[in-house]
Amino acid sequence: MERTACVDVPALPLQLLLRERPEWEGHPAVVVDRERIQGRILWVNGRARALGVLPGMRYGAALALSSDLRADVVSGPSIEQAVVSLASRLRRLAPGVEASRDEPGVFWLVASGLSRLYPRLGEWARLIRDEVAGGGLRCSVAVGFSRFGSYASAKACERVVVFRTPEEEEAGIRGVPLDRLDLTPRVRQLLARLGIHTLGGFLDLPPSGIRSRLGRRAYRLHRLASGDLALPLRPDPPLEPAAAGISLDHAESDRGRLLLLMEELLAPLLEVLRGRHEVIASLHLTLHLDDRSRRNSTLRPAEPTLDGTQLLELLQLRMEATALPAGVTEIRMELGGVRPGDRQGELFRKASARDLGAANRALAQLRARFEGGVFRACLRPGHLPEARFTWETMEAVPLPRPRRIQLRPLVRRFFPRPVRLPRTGAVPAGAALRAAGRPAVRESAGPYIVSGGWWGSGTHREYHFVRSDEGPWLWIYYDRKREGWFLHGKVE
Amino acid sequence: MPIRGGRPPSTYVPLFCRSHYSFLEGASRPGELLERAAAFGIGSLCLADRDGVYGAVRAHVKARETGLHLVIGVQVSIADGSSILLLAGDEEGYTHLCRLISAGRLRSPKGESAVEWNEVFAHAAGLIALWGGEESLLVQGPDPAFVARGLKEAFGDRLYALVTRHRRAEEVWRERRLRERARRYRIPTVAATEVLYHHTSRRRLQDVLTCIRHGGVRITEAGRRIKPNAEHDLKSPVAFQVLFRDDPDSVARTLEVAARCRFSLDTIRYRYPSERLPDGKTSGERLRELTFRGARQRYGGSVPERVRIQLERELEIIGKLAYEGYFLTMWDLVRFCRENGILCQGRGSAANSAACYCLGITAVDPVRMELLFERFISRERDEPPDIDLDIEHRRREEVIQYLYRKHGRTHAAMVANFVRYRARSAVRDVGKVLGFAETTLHRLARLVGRSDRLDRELIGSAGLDPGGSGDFLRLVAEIQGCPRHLSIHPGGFLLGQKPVQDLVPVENGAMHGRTVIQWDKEDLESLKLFKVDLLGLGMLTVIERSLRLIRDHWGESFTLAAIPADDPDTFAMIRRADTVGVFQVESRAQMSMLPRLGPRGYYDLVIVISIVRPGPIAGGMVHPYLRRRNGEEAVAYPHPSLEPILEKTLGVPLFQEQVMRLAVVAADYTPGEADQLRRDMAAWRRVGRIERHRDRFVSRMRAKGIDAEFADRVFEQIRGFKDYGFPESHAASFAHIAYASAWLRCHYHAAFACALLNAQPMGFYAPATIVDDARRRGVRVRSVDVRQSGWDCTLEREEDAPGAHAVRIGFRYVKGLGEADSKRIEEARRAGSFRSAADFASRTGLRQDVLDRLAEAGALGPSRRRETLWEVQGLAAAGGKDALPLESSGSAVSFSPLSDLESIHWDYQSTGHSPRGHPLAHLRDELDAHRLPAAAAVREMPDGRRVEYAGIVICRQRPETAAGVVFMTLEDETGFVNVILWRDVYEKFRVAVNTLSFMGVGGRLQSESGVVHIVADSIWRPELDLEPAAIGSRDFR
Repeated sequence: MERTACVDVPALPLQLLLRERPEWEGHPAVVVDRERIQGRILWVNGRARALGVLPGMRYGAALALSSDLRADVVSGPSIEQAVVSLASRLRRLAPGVEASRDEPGVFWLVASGLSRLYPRLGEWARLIRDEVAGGGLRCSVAVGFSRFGSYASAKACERVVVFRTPEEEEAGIRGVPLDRLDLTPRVRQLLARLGIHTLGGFLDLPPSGIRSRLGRRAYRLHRLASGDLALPLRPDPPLEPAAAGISLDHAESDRGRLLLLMEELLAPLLEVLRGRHEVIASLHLTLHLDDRSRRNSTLRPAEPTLDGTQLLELLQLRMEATALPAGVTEIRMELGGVRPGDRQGELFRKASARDLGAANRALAQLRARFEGGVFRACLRPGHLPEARFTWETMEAVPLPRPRRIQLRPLVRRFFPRPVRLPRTGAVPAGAALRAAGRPAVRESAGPYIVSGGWWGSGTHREYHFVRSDEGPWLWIYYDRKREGWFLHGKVE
Repeated sequence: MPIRGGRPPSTYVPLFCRSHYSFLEGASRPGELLERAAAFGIGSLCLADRDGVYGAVRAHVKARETGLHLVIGVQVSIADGSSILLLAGDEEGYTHLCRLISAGRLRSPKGESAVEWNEVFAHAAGLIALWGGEESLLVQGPDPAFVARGLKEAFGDRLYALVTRHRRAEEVWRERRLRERARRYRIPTVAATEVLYHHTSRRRLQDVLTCIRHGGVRITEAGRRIKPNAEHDLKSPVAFQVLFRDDPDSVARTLEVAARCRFSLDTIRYRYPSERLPDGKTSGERLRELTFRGARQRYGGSVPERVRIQLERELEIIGKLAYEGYFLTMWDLVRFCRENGILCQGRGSAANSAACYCLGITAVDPVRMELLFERFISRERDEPPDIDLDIEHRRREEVIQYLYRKHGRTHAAMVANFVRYRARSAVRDVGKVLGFAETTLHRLARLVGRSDRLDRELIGSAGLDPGGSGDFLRLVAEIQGCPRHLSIHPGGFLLGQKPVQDLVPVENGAMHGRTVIQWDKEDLESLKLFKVDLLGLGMLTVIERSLRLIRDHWGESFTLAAIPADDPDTFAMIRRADTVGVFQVESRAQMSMLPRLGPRGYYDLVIVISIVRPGPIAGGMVHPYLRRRNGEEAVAYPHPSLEPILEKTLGVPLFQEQVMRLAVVAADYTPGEADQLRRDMAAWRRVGRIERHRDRFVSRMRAKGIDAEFADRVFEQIRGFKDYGFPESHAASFAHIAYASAWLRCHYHAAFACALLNAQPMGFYAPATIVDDARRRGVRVRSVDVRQSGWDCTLEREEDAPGAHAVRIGFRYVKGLGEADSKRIEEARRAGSFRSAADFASRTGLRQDVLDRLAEAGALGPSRRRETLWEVQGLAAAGGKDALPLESSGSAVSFSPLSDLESIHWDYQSTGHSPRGHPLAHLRDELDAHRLPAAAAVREMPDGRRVEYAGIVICRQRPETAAGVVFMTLEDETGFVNVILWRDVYEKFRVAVNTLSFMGVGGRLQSESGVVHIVADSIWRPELDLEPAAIGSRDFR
């Protein structure tokens, strides 16, 4: 007879939060959907529950019950990551693992065929519990005969339960409290008001009235619990990375030959991704050199693609830019795939004089050629000169919209780091420049004061524009906090 | 230039100062700006807040104090996004300014304003225009030729180009452009800095306010929304001259501009509107006629000589001060209320006036009560009278709209109320700007509570690092008192003979149909303007509805004035502290006082109402008074001169009037000083105002030979009045309503309870307590029923008890059911009776949640509520109003029946109370088994006995005057038990005290004069098999 087990990591997001914040131990704590007073409470710990804080409450309302309440948000990606990590741990002990798509923290395990490895399933279940505990999380495990039976039992038990017969499982789940099952709060509350608190009472309700009164979700639960709807286990296959490699008998230094080898590696990998209905967003290349060093590179095409030629062009550019102090002994290549976008065809699109696609391909080539990436300056609403712009990675070329200007403005070029002038103390600007060996100041303007940042370390600069008989306007400032003069730039 | 006080002429005048009345822009009070200017030796200052004169009166008062010349200006926002500074040159200019701002405000959404340039040109007379600054067209965009020419034409030589400097590099090109354009249009320049705070230390607050104004953006992300430096402080003359050393002419011109501004708020001419009078009578003649006509009605045809003399004296003073119009307005409002069946009654010092009594404005006979008219109006004081009219709260809007109709929207507007930062709001807003998590801030705000106290200890309790909270603490302290936005005073009106907006700008209130002036109550008092106060009072609604129910169901007609006086049964009930729902004497503290004080007549009620107040409590006056009243202590006076003042209250000062007279007689205050003392007492929570009287008050009393301890106690009482104290006249007015409500409760409890339930929310107790109280007094309360109930609770004749009536709960108590739903049910019911739940759902078309609530409340049938609830599920989706009527599905499903306790739980959850019984009644056996007695049994226990009791918490209080002591009232099916927790006990059981709704208390019984308390030493959660439903508790209010 097929055996199925269910692992329930209760309140997974809350456990993740408390794992991150061990100092909250002993305090009432909750997970909220957003960090706002109106935020809805999703999960509560025992201390919070004892104070009357329940899931579904607004955070503001919960604070009325406990001013000591700790709350934070647990992001979706971090939960997903935890689920993946837990599934990976469970695969060490079970031949098949299916993670619940609806309830993060619930996993079904194939428990058949384990008798040789684990003669007693109880022992196996405890190993699973310990494995999860190794990741800093707490779980319950139920080993039964059906998907729903093991699920409901895992939800109800505190640690480990093993059913010996299907009948025992069926009888066992009748006593499962409804508040442990995945019902909407409204339905759960309604059933409680009708005096129905256990799965057994729920199963006694006539199936005909459930769907119209309690909704589809409750109806589905009723069918699952009554055995009317039995879903087979569908273990998730472990996803292998699209990667390949080749070890060379002799160290190879010829870039042309290396590129040919890479082309050979790339072709089957493209097929793998095609088979998964994915396109390439990135290509990670590792070259093992004869001197035992390695060269790692990541290439990104202009847009996700399955076009091998584009990728080879990028590989060629990268290889041209990569110094190889020794011959290559091994090549490893891994493709990062993504689902292709659902972009409409461009049949009726008006042809543009500018080919942004070509520009983006060129940008990708630049990225391949210069490993550090391509950046551009963006304006920022700051007061300090260096806070008025920032460098952003340029992922794609936008359609340019140049502004018409009547007069060419003066250009103020400033140094990446202001140059400190010789220490003179709070002397006038001219004296500070003279001390730096510069000619006498003929003209000056200022001071223009920029001060602020009081919430941090604070800034107070007094800027001046100064000019001597020869040379450009200099842009200098006296920094009150650092008690010194600095040359910040020049005006052209 | 009208500079007072012989100051040396200063070298410049700051012309562009903005106080914190430029909401969330300025960071200093007007007073701080003026004080700083005075310290610099600056002779004049122009306050020019954005689109308003909100701070003008406060600045005016401070200018008088400091001897500075105040120029009143406004930074007016223009519809194109720019702005211009307009300064009042003379009274005409000020009027134009007010009209212009009103025009901009009234057409804009609340909090915004915009005028057109043409409007600026049209209102130019008497104004001086300063055109410039960062937002001005003179420095921005293309050449504003149209505007420049228009301004030049309208203002002529009263137009200046405003050059502002704040040591910012980008100002250089702006100034160059401004000067070019000013030259082109021949506009002289004048120098200024935009002053946003009086001292650079306020720069941080100004940054924070800016962030709040921009929706609570974090300071670290504010970027260029905040100013780049701290150059917006009020500059000293030297600093200003250094800043503009290249342009001394523009600096000198600041003096010229200030000299041209001769307007002062002292010069405004305000006249109260005169009433339209019949037969060409003067206001005085009309008032005399109405007063004596009323007197004849009040005194049964002939006016007693004492009253006549008093009326003559009052009318003479009223006439001399030209207050007739104000009295006629109040009389007219009372007349309107009477004619429309709206209960109203004057409160406050108006009750000192025999004229008000005869005009029907107040209900207290001041001659009989020997109240002092001078407390109301005095020639020496020269300030307008203040009559507050209480109106039944559900109909106050009718009276407000009548006032608007009568005087027109141009001549009547409501008084403003500035919503200011207090500790809690400050914590939230400042913390948000500083980047604290909102959840943390909410927790901290809760810890701050109403105490307005924030310190490092509290910050640590909220889980924040107390070490790094210096900026936060300082900013929270600084922002407190800053106005955040404008709101409307609960009922204050300003009326004018001339349009109100000629006096002060008017703007839209948040509520539709309301207009509000830019000054608050204190401003009006400072300028001695008349205010009409229309206040909503829930108890008047209750009385009016009770009287109507008595007329409809008992056929007896009473009016508020005709309720039989001095009814022994009513006073016996009051002495028993059986006063749930009775006006002013229903609170826990009052209930504890009533058996001890044992009121037997109307004046005793006046005393009761006055004595349980922070003033007498803080002054330690309560116990001496009780001992003297009960003959346990001799009546003695600290000084013979005080006997006439304190005779009424057995030598113990209880009323505000007595304190004022004490100040005059015992501390040699002049009447004016005594009045200042009264004002300082009335200025709630203004720290320091009262303290300045202490030395003088106490030392002078001691010098007169009055016992130092008595002097100290009187002063403590004065400090208590700071929080809340009653004048005798006010207490007398309230006692009148208190007695009426007590009489109704005593003789027509069903009608009273029904009216009280319909007037909720109001008063001290939750509806559940009112229902249980009614049931304990033998009134049957019937649950809500779709076949019988209306929106309001109603009375139904008791078939088995002739003359008795039961209260039928109305739909208003079914949670989630609105008045429109109630109408649908009543309409469907009129069309025919309901055959089944499905038929009901189909014909009413109610939402599912409403059907659920009705089923849970038993409104669709009190038995088999679970089956009904199952039956109504999905009906809202199945049928609407147009669907065919469905018959009951005849479902065979049956559920376990509700126990009695569950039934009560369901009632509480669906309606907030239960007509079926008290939650604890069905747990009594179990409570008995745990040896937990009922409240009735506790009341019979001897003093000093150790007792354990369990009840449902209906009230928690921690009065400021009680030094951390917490008072609670617990309830069971037999009544109330009062619990006292000393500070250390409260701290020990804080969580349980604050969170448990059903609570066990252990302690020692304290029984004195029929007042029973448990002095608790332990609090616990009773371990019962079932938990009772929670009744709404009144907590720490």
